[in-house]
Amino acid sequence: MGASQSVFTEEELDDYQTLTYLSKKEILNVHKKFKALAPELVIADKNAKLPLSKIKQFPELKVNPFKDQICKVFSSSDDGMTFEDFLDMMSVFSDGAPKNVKVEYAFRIYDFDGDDLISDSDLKMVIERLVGENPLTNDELQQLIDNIMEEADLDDDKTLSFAEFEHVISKAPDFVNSFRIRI
Amino acid sequence: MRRDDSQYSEQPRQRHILRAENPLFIGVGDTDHSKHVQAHNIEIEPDYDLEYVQEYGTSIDHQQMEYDHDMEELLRQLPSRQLEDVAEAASRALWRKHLGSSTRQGTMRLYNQDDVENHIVETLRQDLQDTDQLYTELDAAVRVIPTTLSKKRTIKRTLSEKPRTRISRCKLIKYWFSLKWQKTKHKIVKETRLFDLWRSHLKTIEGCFGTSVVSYFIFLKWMLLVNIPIFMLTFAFLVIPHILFRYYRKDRQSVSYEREDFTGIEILTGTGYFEHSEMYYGFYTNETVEVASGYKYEMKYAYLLTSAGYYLFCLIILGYSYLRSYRKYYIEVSGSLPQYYFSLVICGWDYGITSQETAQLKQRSLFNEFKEYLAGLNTVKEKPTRRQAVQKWCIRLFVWVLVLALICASGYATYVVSTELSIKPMLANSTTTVVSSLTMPFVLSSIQLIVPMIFSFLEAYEQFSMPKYELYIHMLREQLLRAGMLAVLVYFWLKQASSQVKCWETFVGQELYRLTVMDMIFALLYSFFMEFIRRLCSLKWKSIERAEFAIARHTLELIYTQSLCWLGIFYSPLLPVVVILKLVITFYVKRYSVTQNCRPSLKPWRASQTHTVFVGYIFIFFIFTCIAVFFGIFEIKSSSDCGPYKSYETSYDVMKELISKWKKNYVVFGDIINIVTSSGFVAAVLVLLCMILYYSKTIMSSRKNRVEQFKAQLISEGKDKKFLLNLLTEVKVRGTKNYAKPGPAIPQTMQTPREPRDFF
Repeated sequence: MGASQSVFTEEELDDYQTLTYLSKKEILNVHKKFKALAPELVIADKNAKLPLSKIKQFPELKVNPFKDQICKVFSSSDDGMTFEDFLDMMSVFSDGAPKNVKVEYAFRIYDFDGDDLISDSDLKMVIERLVGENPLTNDELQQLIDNIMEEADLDDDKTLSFAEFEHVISKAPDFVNSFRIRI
Repeated sequence: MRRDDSQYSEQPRQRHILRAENPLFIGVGDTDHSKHVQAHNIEIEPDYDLEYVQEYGTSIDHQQMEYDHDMEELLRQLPSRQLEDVAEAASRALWRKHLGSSTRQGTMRLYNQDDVENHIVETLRQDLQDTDQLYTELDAAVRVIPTTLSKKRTIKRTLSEKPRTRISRCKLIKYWFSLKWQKTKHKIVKETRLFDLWRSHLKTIEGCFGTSVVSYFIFLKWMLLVNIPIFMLTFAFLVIPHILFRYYRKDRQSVSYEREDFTGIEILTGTGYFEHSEMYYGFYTNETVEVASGYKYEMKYAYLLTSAGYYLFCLIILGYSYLRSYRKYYIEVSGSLPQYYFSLVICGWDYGITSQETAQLKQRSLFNEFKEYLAGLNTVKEKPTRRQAVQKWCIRLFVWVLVLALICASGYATYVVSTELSIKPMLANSTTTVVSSLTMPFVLSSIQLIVPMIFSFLEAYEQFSMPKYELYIHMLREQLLRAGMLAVLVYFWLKQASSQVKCWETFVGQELYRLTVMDMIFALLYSFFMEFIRRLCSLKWKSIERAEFAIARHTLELIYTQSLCWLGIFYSPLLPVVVILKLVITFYVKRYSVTQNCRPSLKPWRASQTHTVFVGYIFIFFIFTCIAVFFGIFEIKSSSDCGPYKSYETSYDVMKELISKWKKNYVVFGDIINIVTSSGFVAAVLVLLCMILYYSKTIMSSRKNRVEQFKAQLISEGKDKKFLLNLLTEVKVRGTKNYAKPGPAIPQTMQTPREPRDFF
């Protein structure tokens, strides 16, 4: 930790601390992990932009079925993630982030086609990714999707807008516990 | 809610049909359709023919779909999607008093990422100028905006550059103070090492096992953090003054005890060297400590008031935790339709997992859960026959009778062992051997190990409908067993031991010490045999699998330890030290045992709801131990030759004396006490509380009603919107009908029952 402390000035750390939900120690930890992904690139430039293939080697992302969506949501440009994007990601997934911020990003992650609505196709992708190699039949998938829409879709338009998503997820008690990456 | 589109249930939903339902997409045969649409006037023909439209409902070839930009423009202009309203609502929500609270607040939805920064800056600037809280709340406001870090930085920089309006000096000072306060608060919570304890260990465990197992370790950590202030209270107010007293005492000759030498066995039994030390109640004096002249410290008041202090502290912490947990996980969740599937899918994945094996296991577990619930929906459950139902309930009744019989038997066994082996040898004045003093704790711990296994065996016959119920009933029975045995012990100590043993408070303290130590030994042995040896066996014989970590059992053990601690603090002020050491040792042993010896479980574990149950149990046990200890303080005669309350009838007599002294000196105080302790006052307070409860309940049910009404309103509004958009699309399509083959238009799911002719 002593070595990485010299990487950032006190001012920069302060700045990061006010813009994210992490403490200074956690920010330095995150940088350490970021460096572990591609040491030579990060030593050269502490805010280096790493290609997504390297980012996906991060332990929590490597086994996550939604890793490409997460990378897409949090990267500021298409070809990679900078350290600041990575920090942003860890800040949203941290303990200190309030629930509404997490809900917002969860919505973006689960919205595969990017149309700001979670439709049947998005849900189908989510469920398929969740069960991995154990396949569910089409009928079962459809039934699950129907059940979810029945529970969540308030105005019956077969898609979940952000308001409906937020409304239902606020009732789900396990959301904050599961949507978290400890640093 | 609605299940009227039954005709679609056999048709698989394919992407092109979905696109057709989205009014943005219309089928075209002509590529320059969009230009035509713009040129045409939209005419509304009165003879709108629904059946004509329905014929071509599903004949879409999705390769010929073209994105309708006009429709998108129209949708974007809808008021519900306007950014200004949303941003305004969001920024208004930000300035609510509880900025950092966990209550729901609006977020700023960013539909178009490109030029929205300026808009946000303007909105925030507006609000900041109005409320003039630039210094304190700018950071929190900027942090909430869901955009990238660099954009947040530019927004913040733009806002900070605003010219400083003239602020009065006192306001400036107030801002400076609140800023400093926020910084210190942030520093204490985030930067202290104490709250950060064992972070890397918890991370490793979570990576391998997920949030379910790590919840046990977090509970352990929380318990440690609660015990540390208790220890500091007793240490600062009781132990240190007493040590000072011993060294600064004026009369050194009357040393009425002989401290024995320290042999290793005291760690187990708690007697011997520890007997005449600050460890136990009996050693404390009832005199006044006077280190320097003029500074008096009355030990007897200190002892009682410190106990009141730590019980009050525990009450506040536990009450707050329990209420917060209950509110978060039960109240906010109820009051709406049960939404099981949604949370199963959306909250299904545990983002903290790092190991590939656990990830695969988690996927498998989710798959199993899905299959199970889908199967449960599909099979029509035939009503159980009367005979089967009666049989099931008879079995359950029988099992409950057995369970209660076992609990009573354990209670009796505890009583017998205590009488025979703890008291009688002491009274016979023979030196108690180590074995006899340790027998009672040994018996207690082994009952607590074996009887729950019998309970699990019996539960297999009870055929619960859900595994959740089986878990809760098992936990309830285990807690009843423990509570029963502790109740028997407390009765034994307060009634029998107090009249028969010479310095009964020290005796009680020692018993509790021995119980704690024996409990720890059993926990370590359990880890060793059930987890370590089992892993070695699994390496040798393939049929034996590695153990799964029994979260419920271990957490209940922690609750039991803490209840022993609360029972014992009054009689053994240094017991928190023992408990803290025990918790630390348990943590490290369990942590290494879990990662080396256990395998992750396939069964789902609802961490949040079981957490509420555990906090509830610990609260109930706290109340019971408080009642037991207070009964001991108020009713039982304190022993006459040891301890700070030697000369009093009961320990509480000290306080009565103090209060009557104050009453004599300050008459007002006496009046106040008389009023507060009178029965009329207490009755009035109770009635007031009942009224508040009833009022809150009526408000809650009226809000539930309102929520239902709003939901119904939302549904009908949605139908309205769909209908109108449909109509628009249909009109457009009809307008270009002459140029292209009849496109798709309104699939049947988007129909409303209303007759369109009514509108024109």
